[in-house]
Amino acid sequence: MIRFVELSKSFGSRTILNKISFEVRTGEILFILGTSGTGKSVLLKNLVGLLRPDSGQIWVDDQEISRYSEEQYLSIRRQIGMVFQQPALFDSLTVFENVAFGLRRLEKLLPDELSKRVIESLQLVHLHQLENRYPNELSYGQQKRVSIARTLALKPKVLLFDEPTTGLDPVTTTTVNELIFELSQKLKTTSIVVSHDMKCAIDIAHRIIVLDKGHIVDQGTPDELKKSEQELVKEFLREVLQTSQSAPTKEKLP
Amino acid sequence: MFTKSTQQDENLNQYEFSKNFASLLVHSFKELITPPLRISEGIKQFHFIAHESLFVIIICVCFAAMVTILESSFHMKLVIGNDSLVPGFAALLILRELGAVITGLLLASRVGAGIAAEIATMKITEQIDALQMLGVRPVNYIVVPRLIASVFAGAIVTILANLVCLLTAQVIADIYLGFSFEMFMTAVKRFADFNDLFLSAIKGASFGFVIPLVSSYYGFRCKGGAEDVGQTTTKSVVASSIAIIFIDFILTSLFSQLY
Ligand SMILES: Nc1ncnc2c1ncn2[C@@H]1O[C@H](COP(=O)(O)OP(=O)(O)OP(=O)(O)O)[C@@H](O)[C@H]1O
Ligand SMILES: [Mg+2]
Repeated sequence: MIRFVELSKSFGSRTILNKISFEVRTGEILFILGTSGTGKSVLLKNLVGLLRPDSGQIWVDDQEISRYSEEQYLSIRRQIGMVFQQPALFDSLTVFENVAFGLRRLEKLLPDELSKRVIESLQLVHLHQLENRYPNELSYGQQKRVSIARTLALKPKVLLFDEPTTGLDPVTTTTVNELIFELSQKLKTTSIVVSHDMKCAIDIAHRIIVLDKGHIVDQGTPDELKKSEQELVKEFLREVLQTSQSAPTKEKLP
Repeated sequence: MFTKSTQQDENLNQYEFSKNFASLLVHSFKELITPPLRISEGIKQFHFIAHESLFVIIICVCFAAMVTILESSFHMKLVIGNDSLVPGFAALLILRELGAVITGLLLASRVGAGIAAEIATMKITEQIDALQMLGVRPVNYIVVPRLIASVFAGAIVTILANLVCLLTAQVIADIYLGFSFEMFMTAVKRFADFNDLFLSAIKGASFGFVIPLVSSYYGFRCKGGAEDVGQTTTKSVVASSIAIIFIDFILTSLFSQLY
């Protein structure tokens, strides 16, 4: 279980997160929705220690981790994997080496075990034929999927997805959403998914949190949110209703 | 129940480098002696730094040598009536200042700019974050190999630059002023010796040390998009160049106690 308690983070004089508290239950899929620039990425990065909060606490199981040293965070990052908003692939390495990167450093595997794990991970995102390409030879969507594979290869118990489907085509979007759903079903993986996409959220989330201007404006199960009185939530829902009425499979542009 | 943080807490994350240069310096020293040491990456970087910059540096020092000889001869004839002191004077100038400083400044603009742009790009594309998530310490992985390579490259390229510069000076002195090789060398030896070359290499190594540090410092601080990468690169070249001139001043005054 993960719990944020009154978490605040500012950059200079700009407060990005303002005393945010919520919890993530083991095995659930939690969607975090919010407009651009409300600090969704900052929130995820605080959980894995890439940014540090100004105040507040972050509990993972029974540990308060926000004051951990860089060394102590290594074990947290073994449990919690993060897929970044950008593909963030290492340009000088092939797709295979990108996916193998963490495995080589964090797990002692024999060469054929290693390549088995890499191929398995690439298969999850349907990219196993591309293992010898370099990132600049791939499309943006492919790069993003490689980056998902790179995180999955380490089999983390908790997965953080920062807009995993932004910029992907509808078919791939569905694949990725199904993947998140399956991981939760089969491996009891906890997922925190940052997204703009209310439709995906309603489809696969157990719970949804809506962030605005550093605050949580509403949270609950998809069904609860559909009854929300909050203006921003209604705004998000309106888009879903519109798109599903006009053209059921047409995706919003990123 | 929740604790108010201090500035120190911010520094817990060693890669939130926006704070200060000193912490990067300290971390780099720590990482320098912490495995894994990426030897092959270091060699690759050395090859890149030395090999890629050597040609430009050689050309520049050749011209610097010509100017030194011709200018000093002109002025010496004007002031003391003959140019017998030109070789010695030129050799001193080359060995104590020109060779190392020209090399340093060119390395700063070539190598420093490259390092700053590379790290800045990795930062804004979240590659630095990704490294950390995959159990890699960015200073260890990126800065240390470049630091080691650059120190060695700085020293070696400086020695080569000095030798080429002296040789060019000799050729020019021969052609324009009629100093034969023997005459030139005798005149040089009255002023300069092997120590000067050694101290020059120390200067080169010091420049090689600050360039990657300053460049990575700016690289890690980069926040915005492509435009910020450009600005980061410019700032880092300016800062490395100033650092080189400043360190040159410090070392020259230190060394002057030794001569
Ligand atoms: N390292 C940083 N230094 C300074 N400001 C930052 C930093 N990281 C993020 N910010 C600022 O914090 C705010 C929130 O950023 P964040 O990336 O979390 O937004 P977001 O909710 O993820 O938006 P998007 O949907 O566009 O990704 C932005 O205004 C951004 O400029
Ligand atoms: Mg974001």
